[in-house]
This record gives sequence, C-alpha cells and structure tokens, in this order.
Amino acid sequence: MKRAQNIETAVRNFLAGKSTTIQTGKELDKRIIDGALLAQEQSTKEPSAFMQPIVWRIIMRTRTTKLAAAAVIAVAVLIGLYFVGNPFGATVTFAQVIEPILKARTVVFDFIVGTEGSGLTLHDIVLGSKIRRTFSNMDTILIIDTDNARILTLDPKAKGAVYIDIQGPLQEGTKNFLEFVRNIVNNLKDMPAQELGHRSIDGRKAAGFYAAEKPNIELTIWADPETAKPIRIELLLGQTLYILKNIEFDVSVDESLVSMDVPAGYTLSDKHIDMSQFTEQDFITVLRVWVEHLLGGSFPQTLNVGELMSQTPAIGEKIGQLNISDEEKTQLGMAMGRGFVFFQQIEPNGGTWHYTGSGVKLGDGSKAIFWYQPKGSQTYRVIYGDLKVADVAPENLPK
Amino acid sequence: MLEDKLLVWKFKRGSSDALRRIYEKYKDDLLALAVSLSNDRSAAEDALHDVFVSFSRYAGRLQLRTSLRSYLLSCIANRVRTMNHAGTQVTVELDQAEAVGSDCDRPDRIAMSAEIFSRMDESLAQLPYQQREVIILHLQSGMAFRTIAQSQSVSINTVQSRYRYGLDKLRSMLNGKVQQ
Repeated sequence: MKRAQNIETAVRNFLAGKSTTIQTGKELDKRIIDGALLAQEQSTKEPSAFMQPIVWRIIMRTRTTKLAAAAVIAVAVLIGLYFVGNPFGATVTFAQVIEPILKARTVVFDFIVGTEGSGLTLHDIVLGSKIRRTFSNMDTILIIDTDNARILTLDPKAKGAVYIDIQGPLQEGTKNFLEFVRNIVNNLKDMPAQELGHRSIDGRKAAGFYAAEKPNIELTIWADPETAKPIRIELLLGQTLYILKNIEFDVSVDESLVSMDVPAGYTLSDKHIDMSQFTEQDFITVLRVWVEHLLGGSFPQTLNVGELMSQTPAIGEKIGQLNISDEEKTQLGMAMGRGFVFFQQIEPNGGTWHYTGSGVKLGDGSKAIFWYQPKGSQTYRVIYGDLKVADVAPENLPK
Repeated sequence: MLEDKLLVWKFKRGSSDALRRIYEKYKDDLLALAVSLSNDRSAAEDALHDVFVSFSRYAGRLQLRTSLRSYLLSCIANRVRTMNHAGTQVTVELDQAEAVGSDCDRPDRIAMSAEIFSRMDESLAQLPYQQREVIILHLQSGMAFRTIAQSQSVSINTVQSRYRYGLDKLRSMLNGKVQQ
C-alpha cells in the first residue's frame, strides 16, 4: 500500500463490505419507530388529518362510479405528464442513459403518484400508443388507447366493462404515453444536469443525474452504471411527485393485453361517461364530498394530488352509500373525477395554487382554504371554508 | 432526492407515513455508520434510536441546509461523538475492538485476505477519533469534505488534513503489521 489511492481503495472496499452486513432487526425497528412516533405526536399540538384513521370498510354499491373514478386517475396522470413538454435548455449529455428509452418499443414500469409507500402505485405496460394500467389500491384494469383518446375500463370481480371517451381538452393530454417517458429523457439529454454520483437504489448500484427548472420542474434519473439503463425516474412537477421505478425496456408484451375489445364474459355498460370538460365547480365537489364524508367536516392538514388520488376508492365507496339514485351517483362520481383533473392540471397548465385549509371547518366562510391563479390571470380564485369562491387581487390575498 | 424533498415537506407537517418512509429508507446506512464509528453494535443502535426520536421531536423546526441523507448521517456522527465524550473510549485498543459483522461469508469479503481485513478493522479502531470519523464519513457514507466540514463546524482544510493524516497513519500501521 504505497500510494494514496491504494489505501483509499482498500479502506473503501473494507468499509463497503463491512457495512453491507449491518442491518436493523424487527425489534429495533419497532423500538425506534414507536419512540419516534411518540415524539412526533407529542410535538404536534393538532393531529394530522392524515394520521387519523379512516373507515375503509364500506360496501361498494355503484359499479359505474367506481369505474369512472378509476378512469379519471388514468386521465389525470396522463394529462399532467403531457404538459411537462420540453422545459429544459440545450447542450447534449448522458447519451448512453437515454438511448434505451428512445429506442424502446415497449416499456413496463411502476408509477407512483406521491412518495413511495404512501402514494398510489400504478403498474403500466406500454406497447406503442396503448397502455395496460393496474392499480395498487383497486382491482380495476384500464386499457388506454392514447391515439384514439379512448379508455376501456374493466372490473374483473364484477365482470363489468365500460368505454370512456376523453375527447375535448383531455384528448391532447392523452397522446402516445410512451412519448412522455421519452420526453423526460430527452429533456435530460438536452440540458446541463448535475451528477449525483453513485448510490444504491432499490438494491442496485446506480448513477444519478439531477436537473431542474425552478420553481416548477425538477427531475432526477438513476441509471445502471453498467448498462446505462434508467432504474428510477423522479419528476417533481409543481407540488406533485411522480416516481417511475422497476423500469424494463423492450420486454416481450402479448398484444392481447392491450386489446380494446371487451373480453369474453364481461358485460359492457351502456353508460356514457363524459370527461370532456372539467371545471372549478367539479373541484369544489371533490372538496365537499371528501371533507364531509371522509374527514368528519374539517379540511385536511395538507392537500396534494397523490394523497387525494389514493383516496379515490374510499370516495367512490362513500358515494355508493349515499341515499341518492344510481344515476345521481354516477353523475357525482364523474364530477369527482373531473374535479381531480381540474386540480391536477392547474400547475401543469402554468397556474399556481396554495392550500391553507388545515383544520378549517366546512361551512366557515370567514377563512380561505385554497386559492389558485389560472395561467394568464391577474387575480386569484379564492375558495373559502363554505366553498364559496371569489376573485381576489394579489394584494388582498389572505396572509 | 426529489422524494426526499417531498418526504421532508410532509414530515414537517406531521405525517407519520413520511417518518416511517424516511426511517425505512436510511436506517441501514445510518446504523452501519454508527457501528463503524463506535465499534459497538449496542451503542450504535442507541445512537440510531436517539437520532430518530430527536429528529421527530423537532420536525416542525427542521431546516435542512443539505440533503436529508447527509443531514441524518451528520446527526449520527454527532450523536456517536457525544456518546464517546460522555465516557467511552475515543480510540479502541486492539483487544477491545469488536469485530462487528466480521464473521460474514460474503464473496467480496472472502476475496479480501482475512488478515488484511482483520488488520484494517483493528487499525481503524486505533486511529484518533476525529481522523477515523472523517475517513468513515467520506469513504463509507460518501459525504463530501465540504458537507463534513459544515456538519462539524470546522474548515474544509481541517477536514482534509484529518483525512490525510488518518490515511497516512493507517498505511503505516498496516505496512508495519504486515511486515511483522
């Protein structure tokens, strides 16, 4: 060991070998988590709405509502990603890392909206312009034809099927999903990215690259240093995080998996699900149903797309319990879906939003809970605790 | 990296899910660092416990100037240093150093000569604590010298000097022992 590099390499290898054998055990995990949670609870005067237990055991009664809600998740995610566009600058780098994405005909990956472990996880099989999508918290299967802006929604348990047309504003947001993945990597290719070095990602050694166009878009890609294939992509778009992981390129995909034909044994619903328009009033419907029926009448501590979407099954089930007609339930379910889309597309469309509703009681018109500025608008739309809305100049926004 | 930003954001607002995720994500890295610094598995577990309880207690006041990972690694290093100052040894005699995890049968471990491995463990344990700490933070945890300097409130030159002196001593000890 005569040279500095030799001793450094030897010590690094020694420490790496030693540290990989050290892991916590279940008992230690429990002791630490219990202690940390207790400390967290003691430090928080008001418990988080998200920490309070929510009753999930509600019987689903309206299949169409559930199908509509599931379809909306697909649409909302798609539209948000479409609007990523080409936010970064020039200068080519990382050619090896992006090559597999640009050339792949098929891509399979897990897609998380929110943080890992708490957000909603989608599993996508992408074949050209078609996607087969399944969810971590629902049995629903979606086959999405992005070229023709059409979704076939399947409920394997009830053997129900329904087609959803997503014409109008959503149509542009649902073009070729594979292009989204390529857009991300193209963006990274064309910008000066920061190298993050090597790290263990999902149990694999990975090289990281980070790029950002503040304040709205930040992107991290972790790639296998041997094959240059991306392992994990994290995209922070406004206040919403999207994670792509377990990514596989050019795997063999049976084309029947993305067939838009209703499978044998399924009954096709004659319901027409209208997703062509989405409005502020739809978003207010989301807030009202969520707060009134799932949060005990108080607005949540935080509001973000991932958590709201993860609540979709519970909201759908709650709607199924309401004492209204099936047709009214379907209409309410669709309004909820459109409300998700409205909320989710504020930032991708160039607007901004701010949430201040933590702990505010539903019906309290004296407190603002949410305001947003549509792109190009000089004023803000402010929503109050009684769900009334007003136009407010920037200087008059609540402090 | 981005996930960490969102986790911290949610954690500061009282999310227990975010706390659990942060713990799951970094627990093994942090414990490994604590073991390397302390050479004592029990003390290392206590350090990990103390850091997470403290981290949770002061969530609302958390102001990160570096990455979440670097912050937690620094917390572990600070905690182990405090425990050392509180009464345990700063350096470890050869016969006192625990061979933590040295009974592993990993192929890469086997590839390294058993003698070198044992000597390395012993020699590291004998280094002055400040030098050992810098070496471990840099070579095991991948922390940049600048980040280490910030976390220890010393200059980057001081950190680099400790690193160089530490490696020089380590080289001397290993060469001397191999020649014996």
